[in-house]
Amino acid sequence: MPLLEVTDLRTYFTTDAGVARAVDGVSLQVGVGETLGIVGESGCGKTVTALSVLRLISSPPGEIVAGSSIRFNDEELLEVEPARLREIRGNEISMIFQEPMTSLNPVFTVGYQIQEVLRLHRGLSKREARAAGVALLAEVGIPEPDQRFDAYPHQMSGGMLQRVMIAIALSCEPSLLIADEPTTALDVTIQAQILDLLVEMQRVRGMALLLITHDLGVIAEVCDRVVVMYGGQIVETGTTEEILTRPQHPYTQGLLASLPGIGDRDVRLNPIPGTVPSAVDWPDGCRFRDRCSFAWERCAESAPDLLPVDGRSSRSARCWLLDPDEAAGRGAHVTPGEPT
Amino acid sequence: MTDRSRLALSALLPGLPQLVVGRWGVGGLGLTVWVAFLAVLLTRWARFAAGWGGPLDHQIASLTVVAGLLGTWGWSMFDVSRQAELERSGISQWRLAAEAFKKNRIAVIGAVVIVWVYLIALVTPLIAPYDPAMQGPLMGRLVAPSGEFLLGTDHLSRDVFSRMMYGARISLSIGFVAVGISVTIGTLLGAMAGYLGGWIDAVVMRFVDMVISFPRLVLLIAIVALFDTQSIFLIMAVLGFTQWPGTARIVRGEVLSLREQEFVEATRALGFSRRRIILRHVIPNVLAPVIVTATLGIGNVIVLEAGLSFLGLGLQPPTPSWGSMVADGRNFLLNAWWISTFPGLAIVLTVVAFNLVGDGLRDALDPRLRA
Repeated sequence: MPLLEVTDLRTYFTTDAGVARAVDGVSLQVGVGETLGIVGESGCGKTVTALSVLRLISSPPGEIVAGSSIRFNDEELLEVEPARLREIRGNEISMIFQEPMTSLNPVFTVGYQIQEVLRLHRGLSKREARAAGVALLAEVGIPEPDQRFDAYPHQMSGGMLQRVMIAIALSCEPSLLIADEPTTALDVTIQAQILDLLVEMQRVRGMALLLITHDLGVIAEVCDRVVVMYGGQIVETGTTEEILTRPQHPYTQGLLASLPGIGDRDVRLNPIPGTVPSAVDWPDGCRFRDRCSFAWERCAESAPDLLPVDGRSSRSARCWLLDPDEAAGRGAHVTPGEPT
Repeated sequence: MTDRSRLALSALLPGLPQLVVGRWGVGGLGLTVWVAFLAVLLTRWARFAAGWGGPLDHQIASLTVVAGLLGTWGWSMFDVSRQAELERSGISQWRLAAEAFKKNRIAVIGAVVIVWVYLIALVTPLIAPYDPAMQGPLMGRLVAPSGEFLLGTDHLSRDVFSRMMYGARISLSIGFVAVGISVTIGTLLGAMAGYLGGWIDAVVMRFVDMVISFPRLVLLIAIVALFDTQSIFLIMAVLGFTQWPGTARIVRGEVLSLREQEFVEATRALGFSRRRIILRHVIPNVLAPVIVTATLGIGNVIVLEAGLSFLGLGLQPPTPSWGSMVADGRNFLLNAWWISTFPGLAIVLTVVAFNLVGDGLRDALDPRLRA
């Protein structure tokens, strides 16, 4: 049984322009101690997916549509009472955010903010919480944790603050940590340190990690399995190695092809043409077809399902190219799996 | 100067060590309070001792003297000995703001004036030369300021100086309590409206619009006229309950932008209750503008109370209040100018001081305006 099982999640937002289907039928699973990466460009619904798991979507304007299911430890999160939900948040599922500089309350010391979580969820006394908090700060690699405990957020650097955020998130030993672009706001050297820290913490504590990023480098370094999202849907799943070496969906292929290589000084970048369509008005059929170099009539006529790759259910892609009938009928119009 | 000599100096004359190192605001305040209260204690010993068995305000006055002396001394000793500790601890936003505020000379002077006006009001029963309600002999009417009557007497032969000191207690306590009421209600309702949104927001803000759309003085007159007697609590309540919409609006606006910040989302992700988020995480972040509006609001309320008293809708005579004293003297302006003038000046001085401090706080608390 997976630790987290999201089934057919649909999160819609009511806007002036219409209903934005930000997440539109996402199903994914995270096993105990596993690292799942969600990758995709801005606006593909990866952050909304993460927020939905903790039910942090504010309503209105957001709404998780009936029929969606989020099971955590065999408990349906979409149906639990608010009190139970608060118990789960921060305690069993923790989350860290993209921007460490604004993720901490500027009027309290970082120590106070760690203490608050420990006292609330674990019922520690002030003194016990301080000792535990200092130990946590030391564990996430903050030098002089005893002094840093009394520092205010504005006195610390972004990398240090992200370490503090990780300490807060880990303080109650959650079994699942959701990290929403945890390194995006940091410079490259710090990024590597923070990633190493996350991996280390995960290994030591045996917790599962749901890592959201648009950085394929991060995925390659950290994740066991990858989910690629586009247009509010999952377009491809597989192990990290499979996704990076044998991408099946044209979008994944495009993402990989657009990466610059070190030393490519005078080589033009190879971007995916076009922009992400609006979530209020997804195109009929395949949502990627306007930007896809393989698209043909069938892509406009009907939307492909997630089709198994190599006949395995753990590996799939949402593309008609993978339909066995198609391959037979069209006589291998293109060869799936070969980046162009 | 060595630590030891600083401590000795502080033990003898609290405030002086701070004054010597250039902290003229707190140092000067501490030293003057210390000296003045000691003088009160020595020269008014009989009244001070009698105060403990007297009416409540008299007890408060004696208590203030003791607390002022102990407080000044204790603060100075603590301040002298804690420098090392201060350097180690984290720098909170409040400390940054305090540093910025201290650089604003005029605001510091305003703050010192306010503290002094409040202290004088508190110890008035010990130091006032006359009973404010005592009417002297007929020939004592409208006596010009002199050594005997520092600021003269009014048409009922009452000492203007004593009445002004007693009047300060009315004006200041009304200002303090009314603003306390309005800030509490305004902050809570504004934060709830901003954070929770929905129908709560709609109801609160429409009510705010309704209150604000009335001319304030007309509203006050209408409410006060509903009651038979005008007690000080009625005036406080009426002023407080009509003052909060301004605060609520400001707080709501701030909360609307705070709500979208990541740290508020982070507190939700950590499983904090809405109550806890609003009280512990949202409200502390809007305190800066609240403090500014509160400070400016006290000046505003003092003027309104004076206006009500001037119109005869304030406290019942013979209770002195600055507004009613100005009203009392207006018939004698040409031959006894002092009756209206000095209470008027007191109003101006206090209100200007509050406004200067409010402006200073606004500059100090807003990081964008900080130099």
